Amino acid sequence: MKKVEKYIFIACGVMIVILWILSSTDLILKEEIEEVYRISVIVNDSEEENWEYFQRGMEYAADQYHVETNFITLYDGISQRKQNEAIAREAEGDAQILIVCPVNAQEFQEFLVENSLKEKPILTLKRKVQSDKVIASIRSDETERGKMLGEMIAEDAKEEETVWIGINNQKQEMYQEFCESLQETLQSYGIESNLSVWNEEEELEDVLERQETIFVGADTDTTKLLAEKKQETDEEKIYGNGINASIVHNLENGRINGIAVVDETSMGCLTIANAVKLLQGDKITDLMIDQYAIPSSEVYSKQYEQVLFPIS
Amino acid sequence: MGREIKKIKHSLQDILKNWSFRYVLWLSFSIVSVMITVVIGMFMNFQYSRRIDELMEEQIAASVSQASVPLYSHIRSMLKASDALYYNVIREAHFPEDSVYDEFKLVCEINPDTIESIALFDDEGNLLEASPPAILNEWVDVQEEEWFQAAIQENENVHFLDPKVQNLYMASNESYNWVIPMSRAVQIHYNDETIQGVLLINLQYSWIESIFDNTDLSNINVAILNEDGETIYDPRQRLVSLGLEEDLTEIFREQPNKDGNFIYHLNGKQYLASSRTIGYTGWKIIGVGLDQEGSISSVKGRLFVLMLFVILLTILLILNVYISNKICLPIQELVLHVHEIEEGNLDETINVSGSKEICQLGFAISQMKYVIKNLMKDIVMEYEQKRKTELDALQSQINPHFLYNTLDIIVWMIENEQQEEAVKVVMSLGRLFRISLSQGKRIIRLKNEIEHVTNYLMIQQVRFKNKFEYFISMEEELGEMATLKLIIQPIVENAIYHGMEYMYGDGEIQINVTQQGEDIWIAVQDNGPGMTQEMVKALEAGKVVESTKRGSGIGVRNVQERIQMQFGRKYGLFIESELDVGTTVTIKIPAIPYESWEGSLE
Repeated sequence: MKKVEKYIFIACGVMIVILWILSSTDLILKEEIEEVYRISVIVNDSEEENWEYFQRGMEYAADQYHVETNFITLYDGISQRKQNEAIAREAEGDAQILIVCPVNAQEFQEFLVENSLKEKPILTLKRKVQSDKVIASIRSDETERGKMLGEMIAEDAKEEETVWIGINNQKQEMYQEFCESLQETLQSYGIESNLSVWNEEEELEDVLERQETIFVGADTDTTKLLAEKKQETDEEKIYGNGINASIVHNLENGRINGIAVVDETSMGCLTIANAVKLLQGDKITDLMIDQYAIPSSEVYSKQYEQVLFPIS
Repeated sequence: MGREIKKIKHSLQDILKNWSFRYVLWLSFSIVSVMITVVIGMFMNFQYSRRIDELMEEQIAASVSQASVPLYSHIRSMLKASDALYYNVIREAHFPEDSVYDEFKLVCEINPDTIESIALFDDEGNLLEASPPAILNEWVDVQEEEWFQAAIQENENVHFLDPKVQNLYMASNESYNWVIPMSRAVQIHYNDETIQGVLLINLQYSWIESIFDNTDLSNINVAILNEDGETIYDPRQRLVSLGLEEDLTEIFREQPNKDGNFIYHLNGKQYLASSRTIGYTGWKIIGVGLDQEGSISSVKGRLFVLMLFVILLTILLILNVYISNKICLPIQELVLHVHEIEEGNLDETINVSGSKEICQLGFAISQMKYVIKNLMKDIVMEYEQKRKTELDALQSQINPHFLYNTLDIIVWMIENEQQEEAVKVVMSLGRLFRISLSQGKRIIRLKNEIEHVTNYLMIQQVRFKNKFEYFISMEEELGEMATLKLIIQPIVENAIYHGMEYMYGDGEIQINVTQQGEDIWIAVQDNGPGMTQEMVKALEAGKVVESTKRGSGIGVRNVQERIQMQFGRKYGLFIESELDVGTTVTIKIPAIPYESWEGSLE
């Protein structure tokens, strides 16, 4: 019986040691430590204001998920080469994941083939890029948005009105699908449209003097410039694509008649949330963000309140 | 049922039969200890869980309370400001001549972090006064605004509306702030008429955020809902709307009147919630925290408590071993003593320590042992006495026999007128009897026995007219050894009668006393006619030989029995004989000094 007692005491000793390891050390049961993730976002713009809404969503999510973000614009000119340099620099740094809105999808894809970027995972914004390094994309349906804006214009357009569509040369590639879809939609309604690509702001100096009566900014820069040039007496209608504070202000005061817009705040939020999911080992897939065509008259509609005036 | 219980009882009894008392005791204590520990452990676990929940509930309730106090306080301040503006400023003013701008501005400046703007409208929605100065937004129809309609429709109340983007005035810059409209109906003196108007105080939405920023909300989600369950403030609202997080306020939306502290389940998780209604507004401030029951820290806490219980249990088991040993060792000691007694060792001293009962038991066994020992001693003494009586009886068989023979010799000598020889014989006989008597001793010195046999031989030599010679050899120191008396004489007597009777001067009787190891060998050798082997065997077996010649072996048998009775069966007589050669009878006795015998057996 002494043997049985010995075994019982040995079992008790083993149990005490195991319980001590479980309860008082982190060898087996580890306290969940909230890791601070580091994420770099490299956009295809030199103007931070064009990403203001995205940044709001991004910062909100970063705050909720304990993420340290580094938002990088191309202050030295918009080109894929400049962006590639910024991406490579961030990859060398301590960023755990790179979120890129490429200037030129094709060139970015080629860059990814040539560079390992320290095997850091990449998420693309607004564009889909075919590469093993790109885990997923967060984007919107450009064709659908072009169609939505085209239909809104067609609804407002009078007979024989023509449409001028302007786009910054640096963003032409990005909004190509949008422009094509917009033109096709307008054409389907029997509205003629001209696409004009500009390089310098001066080229738009007298744009509103043109014979067209409807002007569309296919990107935020063009939309903003068109709104700034419109006088109160001008009867030309201005439509835009994209969102920033200036565009919303002009939409609210009626200078802009309507915009096609992606819920950029949600996009920013979902981008960070998905990046965190990826870093936590979850599988993520491509995301399509909601988009809207908002006429000036609907600016205070409850439906668009969080898109146009997100609570900061 | 009863049969089953009996069966179990019998099985238990069968098992217990094979277990030691100590083990049964230890096992019983241990089972009781384990049961007590488990019961206490379960109780503690229950208390621990309850306390964790209570703490969590208290923390949530405290956070909700912590946030609700300043919120309520600010709302009361705003109501007071509204009352002050209405009763002290607006009711005293006559529009459009009077201006209340300065008073509005003052209130705004006093509450820069709370009030976004103050405006006064007439019943048609025309702006009468505003601070800071602003131009109404042409897109906005004031009369259609919710705050305006609420004030007009329920003109006795102050209304707090849902947050919205400030769109009433044209934005001076590109910033659009979120505000919480607070409106009330007011009576306005306008052009000597009293008309109804609406006082609108836009509260900054960021003011609510700042209240929660100053509240400890670790692990707690807070939100403010209106009386319809719609969100006024929820930092997680966008995550919820995007499907990234669960809507923890759902239960409050479904049951807007739910109040107090309670537990609810959502998607398999248990949440602790607390809600408190904010007076005047109908808002409800709620706090929701995930039950920490399954968290790592909670599990670790439980495991730590479990470890303490295992340690406690181990200590109890060790104590059980100590106690059961303390109780059982004296009993086991007692059992060993009983075994010793069983094996006949009655000299063992019984020293039993332990409890009173065990000591009493030990004492009783000890007493019993003494009784047994005394009884056995009595039995042995009785046996000894009996044996002595038997020996004496055997010895007494010799004396008449020898006396008969000796007297026969003396008679023969007197008949043959051999008086001198007869005197010698009588004297020898006297010495013989003196030694025979030996003060009644059965054990005498070997030298006395030899002297005795020498006297006897001398008598017989006279009797047999020197038909034989005798020789006795013995080392002097052997004379001090102990021997039964009268063991050589019967053998010598037989040698004379059976071996020398028909000799004619050439007979020889030789007595040699030697020591071989621990034994003394006394050999009586004659050169008589000898015996057949059958006779030798019969004599060694102690049988009485039917013979026509003198002697029937009684003397030999007596010597044999006496020696074996005294010294054991390994001692006695050994006879070797060969016809026409002679006979040697050897007596084997233990070599024991007479001193060590004296007084022991006598």
